[in-house]
Amino acid sequence: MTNGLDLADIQGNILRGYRMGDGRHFLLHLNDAAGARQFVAAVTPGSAASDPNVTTAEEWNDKPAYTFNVGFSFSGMSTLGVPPAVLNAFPKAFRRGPLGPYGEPDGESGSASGPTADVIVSLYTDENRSPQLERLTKQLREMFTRFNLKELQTQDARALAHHRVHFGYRDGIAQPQISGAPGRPVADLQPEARPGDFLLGCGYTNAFGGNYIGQLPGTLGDNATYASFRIMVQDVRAFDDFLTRTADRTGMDRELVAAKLMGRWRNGTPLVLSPEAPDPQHPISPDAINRFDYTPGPGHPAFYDDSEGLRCPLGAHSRRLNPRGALVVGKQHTHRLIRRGMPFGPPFDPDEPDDGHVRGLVGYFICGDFETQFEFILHTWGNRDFATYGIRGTTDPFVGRQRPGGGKFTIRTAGTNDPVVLTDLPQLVETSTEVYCFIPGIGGLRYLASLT
Amino acid sequence: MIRRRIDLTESASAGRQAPPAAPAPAAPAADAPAAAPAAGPLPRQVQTGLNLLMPMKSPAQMPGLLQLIKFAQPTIDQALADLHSVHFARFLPVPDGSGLWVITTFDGDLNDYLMDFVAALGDVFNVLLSYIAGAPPLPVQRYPREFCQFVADHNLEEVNLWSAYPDVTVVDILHDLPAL
Repeated sequence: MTNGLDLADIQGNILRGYRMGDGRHFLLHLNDAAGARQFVAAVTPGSAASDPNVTTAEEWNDKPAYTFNVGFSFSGMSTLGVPPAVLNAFPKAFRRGPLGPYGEPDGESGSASGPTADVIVSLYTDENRSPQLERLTKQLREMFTRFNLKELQTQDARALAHHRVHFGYRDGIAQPQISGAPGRPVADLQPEARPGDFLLGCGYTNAFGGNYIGQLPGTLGDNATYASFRIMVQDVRAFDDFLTRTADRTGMDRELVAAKLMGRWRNGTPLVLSPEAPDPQHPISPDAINRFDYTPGPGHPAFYDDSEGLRCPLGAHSRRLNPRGALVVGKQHTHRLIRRGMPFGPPFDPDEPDDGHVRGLVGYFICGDFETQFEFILHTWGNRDFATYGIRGTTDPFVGRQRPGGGKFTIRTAGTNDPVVLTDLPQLVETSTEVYCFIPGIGGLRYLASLT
Repeated sequence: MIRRRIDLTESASAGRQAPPAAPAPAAPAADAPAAAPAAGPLPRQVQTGLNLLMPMKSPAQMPGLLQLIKFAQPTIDQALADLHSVHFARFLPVPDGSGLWVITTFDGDLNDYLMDFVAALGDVFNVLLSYIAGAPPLPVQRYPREFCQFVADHNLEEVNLWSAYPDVTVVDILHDLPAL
């Protein structure tokens, strides 16, 4: 027990990123309840079965050779034989499953076309350090056969150099700092998230003063969480062309265009801290790279006021999806997500833009409540346009649905070219597969394995 | 149901961009008019009206409830201000004490911002609802969806909301206030 968190009961990919170099996700169909329960029992920590076992949130001194986690869709919970009364206690969003790829309600533009998986197991290794992927894959596939699980889809992932994603940005910088979670806290000028924002039960309190467990029994819900598992295809060629086209037309440096779209330079430096160049005259320490706000605030009254978006555009991806202390409709600092993603596909080579490879990002968006966190951020902040001023007629440049012919993006600079309004933003990201998962605590896994 | 979906993903107008700090030059300015396609529904209204009528357990308790509201008014005012979404709000007793109206105009969809309301005003509603017949389970922080259903069931949504500025939000107004 650490700071009120029972780390041995929490799956390990929730409170920390593993920083592994390789990943393999298996999307599975459960053919029968008995086999499914035996599979759950076999991967639950403490079982007598061989590798792999689910990794917990317990701290380690030596990084393990692999990490492994498991989540279940609503159909998977049903196949496992969870009683109807318990199934009905799950929140509507989990029972319903994913909305459209841009968070549209009622599937207005259709859901992602991937398979309907019952369970997703995710294996992470460091192949450069200790090759384990094929050995563990072989063992897993033997278990799938033994326990009558059907492999629907497999998605590999591999980290790119310097923690970059295919668009070239450094990723994983801004994650909620969760009160009591292990690891060194890194100040980010935002209130700490509460364990209850991401974990169910156990007496946790979320940012709204409640607990997302609802009527789920603690035996299943304690220390569990929810996540949207997504495979997102990134059109790096279109992005690269857009940067070149925009730079040519506006006279802006193409790296500045890229920074304006994201709100950070590609090396992660925030525009509000360094509006002119990715490497400011006075270097920013790695610990300070996420220590900023868009306006002065109670703890930082003298901070630069970027209310007008002169440094970081009001519609920039990182600002739009985490507006920090900026003026937005609703309460500030309440809608947060944990992101655990890893690139897939080979790095983009601008000299061979038509290499035919599919590339993108695969992973989990973790939240205590789909509607309040994941769907709110994707739909209300990412794809609606009145959460704050100055974004009308726009959607998020990366997770937004762009209109046919190109989306709109506004860049204010306080210069003579102000504002620069871009209207040909291409669709940069498409979601090919999405599954809503329930990620039980270790006690929850035991509950599922013991169902009769 | 009070839920009212408005398609805001398509631009109906150029929107309320802040005035440019300097005149736009020829090349970028040529982009600006093209940024205003009339693709979405016109006019679009971002504001939602709430006409919530909550029946009292006993009309005799109305004076006491009104006293509580008066006592809590500074807290309520600050909570509403922190939401950045409520244009107007008031509590109005039914003359015979049989019910309490909560009448507000706010931006967006109540479902989207429900938890923000709960965070800001949950404790106030916990007290108010203790006087209300057929109240949802309390505290609302623990049962937010039941609270939302209660609101939906007791909202008189047929009343049309007219607005002189249908596409202007509270944040638009607050942002522009210093210049007004």
